[in-house]
Amino acid sequence: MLNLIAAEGPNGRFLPADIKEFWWSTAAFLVVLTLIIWKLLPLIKKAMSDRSDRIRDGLVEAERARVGAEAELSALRSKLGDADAEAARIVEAAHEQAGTVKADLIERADAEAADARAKAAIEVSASTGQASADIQASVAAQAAAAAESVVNANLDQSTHVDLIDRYIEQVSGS
Amino acid sequence: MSRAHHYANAIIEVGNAEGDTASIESDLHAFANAVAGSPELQNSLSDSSLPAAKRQQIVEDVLSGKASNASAAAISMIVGAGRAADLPEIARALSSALAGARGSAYAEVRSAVPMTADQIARLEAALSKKTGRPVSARVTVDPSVVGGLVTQIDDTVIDGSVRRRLSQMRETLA
Repeated sequence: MLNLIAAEGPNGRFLPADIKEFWWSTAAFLVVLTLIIWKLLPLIKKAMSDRSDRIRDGLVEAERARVGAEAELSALRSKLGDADAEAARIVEAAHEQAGTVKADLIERADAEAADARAKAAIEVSASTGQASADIQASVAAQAAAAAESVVNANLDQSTHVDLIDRYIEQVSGS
Repeated sequence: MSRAHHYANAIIEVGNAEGDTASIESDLHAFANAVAGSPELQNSLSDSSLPAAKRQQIVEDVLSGKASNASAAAISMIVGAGRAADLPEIARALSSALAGARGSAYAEVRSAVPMTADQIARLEAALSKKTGRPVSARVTVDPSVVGGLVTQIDDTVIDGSVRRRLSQMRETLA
């Protein structure tokens, strides 16, 4: 068949004019193809396999990273939630403590004010009493001194005699 | 028995031995009154830094020619013993003991002015009526009484002085 085709002459389309050239070309092609299949194909397969492995590893790593990130995100969200709750608890505790401190301060201030008022009242009372006593003592001293002056001025001899006689009468009558 | 009574008994023994008890009593009262009326003499006789002999010399100088030897010796003994401040009490104890030996009571009377013999007699009669036994009174002029009389019999004091009434008025006013 090939000889027939080649016998028709060179037509520039399928076969060269020289059939040997065809065989040599075919042989060369086969040699090259064999070399390719024998040497290059394993390399290509290996490269493809390595690439597939790398891609798979990358996917696995990416998946692992994603899972880790989601876990971390979940943990962070949880922590954030705990932090919010803790913050709320702290704020509430601070409010309660502030309320307690405020009530305590108010109570203490009221007590101190009441104590100060009581002390002031006592001091006022004591000062008033002392002033009254001082005035009374001063008046008494002045009155006694005046009375003594009057008595001394009026004690003449006859008065002395009367006083002695009255004393003797009282002793005699007692 | 007080220290004054011990001295009084010792003086009585000396007086009985000398047969001059009455003058010793009189001189002791007079000297006690003189000491009471002279702060300078009182300080000198009570000054424990002065030797006893020096104090006794002062007594002898004061009593020279004014009292019996027995009186001077008795008073000198008291002052030498450092009991000059007790002279009024010793004199009172002496008179009280002598009156007791006579079966009567001794009354020491302080008056702002000298009393007449009639007033003294009436006072002794009144005190005798009050105590139920004879009373011999010795009157001392004491201006601090102001008016009226103050009588002491043993431990009983009958105070009818103007000084006491003024004190009562002062206490009432105070």
